[in-house]
Amino acid sequence: MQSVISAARSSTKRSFSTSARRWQAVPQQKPVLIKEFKIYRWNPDEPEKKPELQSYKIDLNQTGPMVLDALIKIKNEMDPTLTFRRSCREGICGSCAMNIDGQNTLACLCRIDRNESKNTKIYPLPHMYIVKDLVPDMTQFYKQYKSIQPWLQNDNPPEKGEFLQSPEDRKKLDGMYECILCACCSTSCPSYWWNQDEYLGPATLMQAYRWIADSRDSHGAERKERLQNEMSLYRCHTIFNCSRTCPKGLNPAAAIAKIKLELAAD
Amino acid sequence: MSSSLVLHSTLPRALTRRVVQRSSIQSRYNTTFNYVPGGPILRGTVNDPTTFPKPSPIHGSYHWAFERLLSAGLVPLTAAAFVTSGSNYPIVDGLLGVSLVMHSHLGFDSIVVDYLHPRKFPILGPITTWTLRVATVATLVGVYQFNTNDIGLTELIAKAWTA
Amino acid sequence: MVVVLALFIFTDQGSGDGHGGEVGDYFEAELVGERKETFGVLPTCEELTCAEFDYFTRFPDAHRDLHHTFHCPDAHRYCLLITRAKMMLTRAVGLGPALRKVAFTPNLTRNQVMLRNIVGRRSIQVQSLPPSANLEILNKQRLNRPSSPHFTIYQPQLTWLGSIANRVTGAGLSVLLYSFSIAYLIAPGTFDSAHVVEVIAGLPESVKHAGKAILAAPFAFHSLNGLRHLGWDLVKFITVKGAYVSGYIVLGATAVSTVALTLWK
Repeated sequence: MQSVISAARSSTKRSFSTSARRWQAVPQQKPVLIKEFKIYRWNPDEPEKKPELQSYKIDLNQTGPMVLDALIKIKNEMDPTLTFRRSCREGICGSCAMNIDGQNTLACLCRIDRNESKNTKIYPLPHMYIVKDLVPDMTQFYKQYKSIQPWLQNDNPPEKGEFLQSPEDRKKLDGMYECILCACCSTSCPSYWWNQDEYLGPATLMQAYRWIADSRDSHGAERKERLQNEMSLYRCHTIFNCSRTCPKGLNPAAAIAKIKLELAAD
Repeated sequence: MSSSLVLHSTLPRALTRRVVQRSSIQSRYNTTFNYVPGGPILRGTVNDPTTFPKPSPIHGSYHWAFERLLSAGLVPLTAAAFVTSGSNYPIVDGLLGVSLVMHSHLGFDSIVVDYLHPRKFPILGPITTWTLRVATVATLVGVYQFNTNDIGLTELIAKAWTA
Repeated sequence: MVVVLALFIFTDQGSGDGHGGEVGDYFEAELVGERKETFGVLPTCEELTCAEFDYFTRFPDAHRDLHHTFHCPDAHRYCLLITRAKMMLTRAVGLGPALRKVAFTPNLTRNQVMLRNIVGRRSIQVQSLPPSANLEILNKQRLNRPSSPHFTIYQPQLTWLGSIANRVTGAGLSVLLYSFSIAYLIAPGTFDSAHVVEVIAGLPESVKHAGKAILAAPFAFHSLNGLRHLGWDLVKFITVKGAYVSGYIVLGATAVSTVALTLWK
């Protein structure tokens, strides 16, 4: 019995190894598809040197499908000094937000245009101070987000258990809570370009409304009152770049319009 | 054990010395960075939230609502102007004169706030704001004069258009 | 126990982009400079237990005082170098925990060759800095930072082009209104209706048509786009699709109205 089993085992082994040899996939030789990437470069160690576009040519058939794959390939194989933020590579961390072919988006969610006759230009998020290459200084953006107090505020918590919310009220938060704060929308907004020291920008305003609209939050009046000035909210002229560019398909323009209407109705 | 005793006795001394050291160093690093609105230097540390201006609905929701109501009011007024064009309707002309000028003023004003805000342009900003105000008042007077002494806006446009 | 956070800033490393982490309550670094001389003897630190040694490496001032008490200031310097070595060991790839364990038992002091190799190869300049220096360094960097390009590189899209067109057309028409009214106010004799109509009537037909088209197009666009904006302000069709559909409708209607107004008799 034992010998039978061992024989069987050895025979399966042998057949496996031979079949492997026979059926082993031969790596397909793909044609070379060279694509040029022009990437914004600026090095803080040489501050007097003006920012410039640097050209990199890579074979798309040896690269993953997304722009982030191309950037990582360039950094790994061609130029380790190329600097950019990235983390999750699946559109949930918001680190790799940048301007690709003139549109703000996440490099990890942006497919490479496989047209080899056209180069792809990659800039950092527009009208931001640049720390290095594709890395913008997001401090102001985060400070603004902090200013709207993005947490639940309610002076009368329920005596027992959690806050209850009707499905309808919960539904109001859909399309807003999903924001990953990548800043694509804010930095696509011309109003934010010109007045980002005072104007909050679409991302922060949508989060402001996310808390105003939350039925469990009782500080809506204070939240709204803070926006009652010329700059914080009303620099929005419904240009719509924000919703157009959002890599998560959210609609900050609508959220801002709702804030304005609610403020006017008060 | 002995070392921990030493530690206790020396800690306060170390601390005072450090305070002295720190103040001397601080004076060395006392270069100030001026905050320029929109510039790379920000107010406060990276952990401080940005602040809000004093709330004022007059600059906020009232202003916005007035702007929208005025724009919406221009829709029937424009239609009325088309209907009455070619003849002198002082009410339409008067309303149109005032609301068009105010609509223009609000439009110009938002341009100034967007591009030439006094916080960023301490000289050019106020100059533009006041020039705009003067121009608006002059325009209002001019439109009033034209509507009362001449044929009025709608009729002028109608006549000029078909001239 | 006074909580003191000792942070060591290596000047040969960039210090972040401004939103790294919270700055600690206290911020302290020690001056070592380039280590050139060889190591002396005198390790008083040998008498310390591991825990005490660790404490002193974290609180260098107390440490220095200890050495002053024992009248061996050189030993203080020596211990600081051990601190450096420890920090580098934790960073260096390949110098695993085993080596670290060896390095930070007090017997290390006898293992001077290894220590010198680690420390000597990478001479580190460390400056003594107050807490406020963090912001100073950051601000110095900030002043160098360029602002990234914006509307020159942004893709031309109906959204923002339509918006700026709305502003330009509105401003253009308003400038006309303002200039005519002010001109009339200043010189009612020259800019009265009779004169204006007369001048226009004297223009050739092609110029009249062109002028009407130039006036009609911005008027039509601004009016129709204004309606679109009023819709948005009432939270109507305020989606990307709604914006595009309404945008193309406005463009089409503008074209039609411009032709109609130009041909208006």
